[in-house]
Amino acid sequence: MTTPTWWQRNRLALLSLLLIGPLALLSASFRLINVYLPWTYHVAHTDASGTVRLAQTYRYWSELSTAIEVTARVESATQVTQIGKVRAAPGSVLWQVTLTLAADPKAMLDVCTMWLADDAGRQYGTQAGKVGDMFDPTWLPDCVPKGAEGPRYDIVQEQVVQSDAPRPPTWTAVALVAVPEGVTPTHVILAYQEPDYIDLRIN
Amino acid sequence: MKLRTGELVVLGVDGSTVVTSPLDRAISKNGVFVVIRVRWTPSLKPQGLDVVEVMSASGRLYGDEQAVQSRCNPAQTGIPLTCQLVFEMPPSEVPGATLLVPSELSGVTGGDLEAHIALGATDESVKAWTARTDPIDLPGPKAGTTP
Repeated sequence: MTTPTWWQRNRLALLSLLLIGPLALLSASFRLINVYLPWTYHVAHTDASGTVRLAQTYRYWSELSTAIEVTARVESATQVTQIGKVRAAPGSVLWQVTLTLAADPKAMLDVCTMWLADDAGRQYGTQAGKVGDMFDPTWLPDCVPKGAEGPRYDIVQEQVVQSDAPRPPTWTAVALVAVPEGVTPTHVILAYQEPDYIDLRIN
Repeated sequence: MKLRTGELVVLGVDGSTVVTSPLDRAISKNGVFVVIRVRWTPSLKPQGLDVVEVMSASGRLYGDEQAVQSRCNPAQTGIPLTCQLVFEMPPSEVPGATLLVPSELSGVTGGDLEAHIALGATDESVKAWTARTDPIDLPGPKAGTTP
């Protein structure tokens, strides 16, 4: 009887390497998963005409999948001194941006995010840089009309609920943003879920 | 100090055994509250100072939830935010301690730390802080160019 060769003695271990090798590589590459999952806003929707259409399907509040289709254009972008009790912090100015949106009244669009950007790519959000009202009502953008929000997901009841009045086919969304003096915002961004966002030119 | 994500200026370091805020009052029986007054100005996107820690000379880390809330957010790009950071520490750990500010302020530690700022606390200053019983008031973050 001949002595088994090294390859024969270790064939099972060598075969298992075909499985273990890729698993080891995968576990060592965990950080790369962030590169492939859509956790950042990096898919821009723009249009030279100034009217941008966004069609997107995403998980709403991680509970249900929803498909939206919305068209947006800039109605106005102006500097304002004060809205209610809200003023800009010293050294900054307030910009109020109004968008006209159009969508099927059955689409869930009550949760959105808006921010301004300048040509250098710096972003300016709705939450900071404002003073005067401890309960700042402009902390978040007005994504849908009050009282006519349309369908929205109630996380307590864990179901979709309808507003008292149906949302009209077109409405306005408003964001109030504090921007440092001397900076002119040139873009307004509207987004519902990563990675897609609408990029509209202002100024 | 210029970080990748903004500019941080340490305006002063103080300490006492009592701190008060609009909602809280805390007394440290065996430790001392180190209060670091800073001015933070994000440069790329709105981002507050959410994850900052103090590392003692012995290498221990202090931070996370404290007895008194001391937030440094929300902060707007290009608009300075003045705030107080509070860390309750054993007095023996304060001399030689360093403030650690990560460049990516997303709450994930172990990333590329960009700022190590020596607090300049000496044995003498810590002794005075430990003996102090008058409170340091923490009014909360204030936005704008007025200090």
